[in-house]
Amino acid sequence: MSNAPPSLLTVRDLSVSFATTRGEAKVLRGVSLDMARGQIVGVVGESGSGKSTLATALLRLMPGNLLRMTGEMALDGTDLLTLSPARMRALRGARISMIFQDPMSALNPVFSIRTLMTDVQRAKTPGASRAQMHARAVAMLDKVGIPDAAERIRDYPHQFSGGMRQRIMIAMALLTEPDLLIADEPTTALDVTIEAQIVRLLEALRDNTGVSILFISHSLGLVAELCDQVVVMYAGTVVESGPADALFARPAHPYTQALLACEQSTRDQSDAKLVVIPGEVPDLTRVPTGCIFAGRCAHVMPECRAQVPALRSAGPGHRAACFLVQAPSQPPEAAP
Amino acid sequence: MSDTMRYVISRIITTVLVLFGAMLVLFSLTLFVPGDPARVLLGPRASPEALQALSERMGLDLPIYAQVGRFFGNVLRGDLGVDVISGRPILNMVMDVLPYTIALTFAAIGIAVAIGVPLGCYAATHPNTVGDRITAVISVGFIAIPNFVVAIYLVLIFSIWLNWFPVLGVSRTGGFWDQLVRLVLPATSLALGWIGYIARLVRSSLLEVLNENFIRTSRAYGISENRIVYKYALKNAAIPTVAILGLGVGRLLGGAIFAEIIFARPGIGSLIYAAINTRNYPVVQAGVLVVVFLFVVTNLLVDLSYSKLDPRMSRRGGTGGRMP
Repeated sequence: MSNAPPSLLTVRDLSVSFATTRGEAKVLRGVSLDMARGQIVGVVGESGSGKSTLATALLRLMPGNLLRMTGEMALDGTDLLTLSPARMRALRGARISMIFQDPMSALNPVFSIRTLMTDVQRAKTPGASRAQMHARAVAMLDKVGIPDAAERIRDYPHQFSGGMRQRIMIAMALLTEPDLLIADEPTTALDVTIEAQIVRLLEALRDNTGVSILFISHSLGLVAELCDQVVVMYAGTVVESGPADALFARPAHPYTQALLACEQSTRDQSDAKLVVIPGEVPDLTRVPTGCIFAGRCAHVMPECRAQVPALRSAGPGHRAACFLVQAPSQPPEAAP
Repeated sequence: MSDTMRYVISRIITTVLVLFGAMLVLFSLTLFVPGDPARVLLGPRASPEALQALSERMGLDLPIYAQVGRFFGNVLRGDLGVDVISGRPILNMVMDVLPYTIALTFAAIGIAVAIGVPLGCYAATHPNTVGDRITAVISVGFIAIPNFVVAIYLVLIFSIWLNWFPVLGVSRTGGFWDQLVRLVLPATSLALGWIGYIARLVRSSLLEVLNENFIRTSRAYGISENRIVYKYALKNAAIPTVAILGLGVGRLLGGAIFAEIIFARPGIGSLIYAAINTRNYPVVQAGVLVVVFLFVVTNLLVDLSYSKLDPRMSRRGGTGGRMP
């Protein structure tokens, strides 16, 4: 934990709950996260793990049934949780921007790319002329690999393929030079070859512009390929976090281990049985006591059901919330 | 040929077919009129010679297929016949009153849009608040009250009690201002129901659009809420409203009868009404034909305007292949 690079984004103990017909759903519980400038941090988890809620919480774009949001979120020292709505809006786009899962529905269908990209700039750079904004938009489209950008900027979203639309979204998000780009499953709706291109594009943009990327995905393989740091989420909590190489080489939490086994079994094209994690994600309106994964864990012990395990060190910068975790490099202390 | 052109042409062909159908129905009117149309027109005491002459002039002695051909031929040449009573070409009679009807229609729809769209936007951006409920009550009330009742009350309140507006008529010789003043009450009486329709429709389509993913995208990029509602969402929500406006214009062009009668305004509606009263079927035929024509053409224009509002409608998708 020594000489960590200065943090760009700090999330401490973030909890979010929504009002549902079945009561209060505690979708995020005590999530903490650190991101250094220029890093790509991956957030992985199944559907319902709260990873998308985390993304929208950072931008404070929560649906109307938000009940409670507590904890700390700070970008470069600016407290995001207490910022006034107007200041928060000014910060969106300018300092934090976001790209979304489904590029087909995330671009307004009745406006041309030029109009969309001009308006994004208008809010942030009031002095710029129409021609300047146009030129910047074309340059950015060019940068994300839209061929013939000067011509095609006049086109409408439906005239582009899914991969091209995701590139356009990335261009829109980066137009205002944000410090942090949140990518919420940006490749889920795309096919595999396009997925690889988009991932490579994000990597190149990070290298060229220094933008930090919070990459949300359900695919461990993708995260392993792209990210410096990884956060594994399960049912609204962080169960494991650490440097990507360490985490994938020595997954410490039983959930991460199971997730890796699942993904390997789907990748191997053999007829061997598909590995699944038995059980279901718990109902977040009735959060059980103890470890949230206890109900599905292969190594469950009595104490798991009694008390929530804290995050324990599993190596340098590598932590997991499991009673079984032992740091491999540390000598066993006070062993009897 | 581009998809857009193909779409335009197919819509025009449909329009022409509808018009032909309407003409056939209108022609059949003369067949179903009880008794001989010439006798109906000239009255019971007409001399046999006069009847004979009128029948020949109207082509009633010809076989039916020849009558149909004659009717279509005349209409296509723009000849709607000559009014037996006044001796004037019917087309001229229609053209004399048409501007009054068109002015009334567009004034009414203009008022309805100017009030209905902001009401709908307000309700959609404040869903389930007291203000939303109030606009709902107002809208439904406006829709429910028949426009002739509104017209009578408007005359009573604003013309007779308050004496703000002239009671009746149009100023045939007066200037623009006088015309406009005399348009206010009739146009308002017709507009109220449409205010209600438009407000309800804008509210529901806007609420739907505001839940779309692309609206969240705009918010994530820090676009101001006003721009999101009044530019990004409203254009998406406009299509159903424009469709209703097309119907509204078409309906009012032929259906402003009550307002025209109550306010004693000349217009297509009152022309047809008077012709029905005097059993003047050729004028009814011609008047209805013009109304149908305007209705169909309005809706053609509305359909074609969709592709302006939503570029996906022109159906030239895919990459590349832009039209210059």
